[in-house]
Amino acid sequence: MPKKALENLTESMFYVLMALNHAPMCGIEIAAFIEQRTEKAIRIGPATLYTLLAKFEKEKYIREIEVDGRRRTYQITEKGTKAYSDEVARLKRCIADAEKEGEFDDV
Amino acid sequence: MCKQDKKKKRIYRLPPIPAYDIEGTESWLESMAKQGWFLSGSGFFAGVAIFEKGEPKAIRYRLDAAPKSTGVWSDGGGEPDEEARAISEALGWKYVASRGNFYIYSSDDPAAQEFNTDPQVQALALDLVRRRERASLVSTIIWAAIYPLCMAYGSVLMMMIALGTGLFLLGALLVTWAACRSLVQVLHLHKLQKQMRSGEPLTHKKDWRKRAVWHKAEPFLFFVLALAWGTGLFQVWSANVTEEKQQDLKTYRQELPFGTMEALIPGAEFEWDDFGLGNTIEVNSDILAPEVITLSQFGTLSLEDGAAIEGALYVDYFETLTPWMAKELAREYQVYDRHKNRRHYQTLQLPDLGVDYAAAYTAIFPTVILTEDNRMIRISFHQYSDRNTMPLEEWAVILAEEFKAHG
Repeated sequence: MPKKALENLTESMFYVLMALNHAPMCGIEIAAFIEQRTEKAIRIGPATLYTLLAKFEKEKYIREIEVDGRRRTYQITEKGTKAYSDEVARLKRCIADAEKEGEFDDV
Repeated sequence: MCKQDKKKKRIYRLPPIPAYDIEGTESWLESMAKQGWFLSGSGFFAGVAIFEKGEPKAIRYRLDAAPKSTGVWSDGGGEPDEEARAISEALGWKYVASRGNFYIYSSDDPAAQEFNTDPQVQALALDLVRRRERASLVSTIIWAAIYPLCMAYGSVLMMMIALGTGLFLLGALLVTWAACRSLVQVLHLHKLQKQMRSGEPLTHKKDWRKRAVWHKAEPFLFFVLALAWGTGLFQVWSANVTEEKQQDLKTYRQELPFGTMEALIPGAEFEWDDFGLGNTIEVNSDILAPEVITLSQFGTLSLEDGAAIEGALYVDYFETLTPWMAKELAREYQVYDRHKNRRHYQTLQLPDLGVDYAAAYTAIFPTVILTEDNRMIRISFHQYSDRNTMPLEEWAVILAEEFKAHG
């Protein structure tokens, strides 16, 4: 269990940052991006999404750049980009280690 | 569901599960929906759930931890923010109402994504709720228990007798009950968070019928007892303010278990001083102190040589159940007087009065506290004439003898 909530990103956290790293988006666009990028393998729930947006904003991983009625658009910050790229690097190391084991060559 | 309910368009139900029980609440609401009753937009009023009639169907209800208070007077009127509602609606979920620290959403679209898809993120959301409940628990303990004790300088026995032991114990029960409720909620949320942090999602299925009777009855019982306590407290306050139990000391004919000013100089002529207040007696009774007498007497003792002692005597007399209680009451009164009159408090010397316990001090007026067996008396004697005064050593001895004699 990580000591801090965002120390290790969960799958949902990772994909939300991925979406915002791609481009500034509002919540609904983030949900659609994740579903499309993962080919419906991951469909983020609304409560998970807006909880994460609030948490990321509080931790300064993202910032709000536009409000249009009920729609709020977010942009990833430097801190968020670093967290995302650190997680990508970590996942790549995990995959590299797994590939060395040679058991998942067919994946 | 009874036949009468089937005809109604709206019904009211006491929830059979507490507000913090996420899975229980979801299961109960879904069970009601299968019978054709849907939680209305009014949600819950005074703890009662309001349902509206519709076609029975399988509908999912999900609870979402509110990031801020759901009270009507809070920011946003206790409802989720617009962005949360917009995202939920876009993904097939509708906000219905709030209860306790949670927002309630529903979806009748079986294809709609599950409301929470990441238990670890759901655990994050629960954090704020848990902190609010923990703060509420601490607040309850401080304001309902610690603060009153501090204000009374720890004088528990004194408070019990003054308020009435029954009322005090009922208040203590209610405070303990409220604190336990809060603690149970904190522990339950902690357990849920632990489960979510380990990656295990909620099942949304719980046998809510198991303790339904208790959960319906408990808030009602608490309310009834709280109402009874409030009524009792009001009666005590009202009696104090209107002084309805006070009697005129001048016309009081019952024998007193202690001496008054007349006893200070036998044979001296006693004349009442009537300043429009004082010269009163109040007799009460409590489980722990079957006889409690509060007396104030203003008068002048005139001597044969023309000298006079003018003063006011204030007496608090207690006949308690045991000698220990009498001594404890004496201790508490001393502590109370010492703290309340810190600037004027000074210990005074007393001769041997032949009683179980004796202490003297000045807390504005010279005061003597005595105990003998299960009785305790606190006497303050204010002499407001400088011409003739009786020293403490003299009047304390006389009143102590009177006190012992009436034992």
